[in-house]
Amino acid sequence: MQYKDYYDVIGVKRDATEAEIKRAYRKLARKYHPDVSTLDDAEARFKEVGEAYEVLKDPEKRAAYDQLGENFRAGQDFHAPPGWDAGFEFRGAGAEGVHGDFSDFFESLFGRGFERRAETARDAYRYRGEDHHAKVMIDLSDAVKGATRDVTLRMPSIDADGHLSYQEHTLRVRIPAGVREGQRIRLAGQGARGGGGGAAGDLFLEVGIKPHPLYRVDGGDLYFELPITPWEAALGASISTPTPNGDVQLKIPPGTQSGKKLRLKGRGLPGKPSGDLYVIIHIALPPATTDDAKAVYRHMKDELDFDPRVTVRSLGRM
Amino acid sequence: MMGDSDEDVVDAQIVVDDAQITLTTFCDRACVTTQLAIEMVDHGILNPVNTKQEPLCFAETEVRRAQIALRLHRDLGVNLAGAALALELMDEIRALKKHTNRL
Repeated sequence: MQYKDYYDVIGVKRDATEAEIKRAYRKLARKYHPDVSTLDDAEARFKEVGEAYEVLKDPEKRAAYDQLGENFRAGQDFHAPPGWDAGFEFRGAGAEGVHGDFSDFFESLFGRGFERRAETARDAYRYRGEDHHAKVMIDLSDAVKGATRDVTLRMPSIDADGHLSYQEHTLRVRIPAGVREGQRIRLAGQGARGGGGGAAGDLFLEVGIKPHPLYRVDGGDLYFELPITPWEAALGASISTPTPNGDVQLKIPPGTQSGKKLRLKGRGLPGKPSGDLYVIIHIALPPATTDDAKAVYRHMKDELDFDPRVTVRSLGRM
Repeated sequence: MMGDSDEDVVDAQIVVDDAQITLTTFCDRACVTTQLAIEMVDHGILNPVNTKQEPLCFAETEVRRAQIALRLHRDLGVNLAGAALALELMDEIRALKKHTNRL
């Protein structure tokens, strides 16, 4: 295993006072606490800082660590020499500091006499494992229809040099149909292990829906822009329109303007209640690139007495 | 791609944020005693669905608030009043971020 420089982790000099160490630890603990920090590696950094403080706050552990570590640098190969801790007596964890897993390096030095919760015969008790929380991105089709997907979770950890590495862990998850952006799905028993026979915690995945090239998602509702011709808009039409669950015939009322929203109730994301699908009409302009096409437009100009800018002129002038 | 046994697949349930759970279930899920849960209610960390009648019920989302408050106390030495303040500030930051993401 590799040597860890705990002074470096806390950011203090080797001759730092107890007060300086406590102050430095508390600042980093606030910075990296996983419930407060938005950094990806917050939990790993928080544990690392806590482990360093666990040693440096205790005069006996600190003295033993100092004696051992004078000739080592962070990252170097390390084995605790026999009898290195002769004359030192280590107490259990105090009220302030890290609770939980320690690195191999720490365990090799202090693991023998060090009490951790639920590990001594005197104090064993059951406790439920902590819940874990993570985010996962899914396709819109998965949200509409449900799907079985492999979800890879990356657990960051910090090595002795302070480099970030990720341990990957893949779960095959049955994602229920109708899940919305921002909703959480619960995977029972997939969180941290419990202790003393206690139940494992749960894994909560916060769902994000990847952008779709056609549909815009807003809660349970979907929106998309449907291009129609000027004659369909003016005269009305019945148009085959895609929806997430198959095509439907959409009735376009005569005189439909661009921007009009037509609602298809219950055709959005499924659920209780199901969301709606909104079709936003966009009147597409046929190109006037041929002489015949230009003639048609000129004929419209001559035959239709139409000024779309009357209101704009009256409102725009001051 | 399919063809694996169903045993390998983990079922997920949508968490209905306002689904209600009883005080007993809440304490079990959040790993708190009844007394601590009630103290958290008094400090405004938790908001039960029904304050005026027994038994107390909580929305599903309150479990995580209790867990965060516990961890802040355990890891940072924050008392219940401080945890309540921290949670309110974090709610406000989240709402502001959501608002700025929409702009």
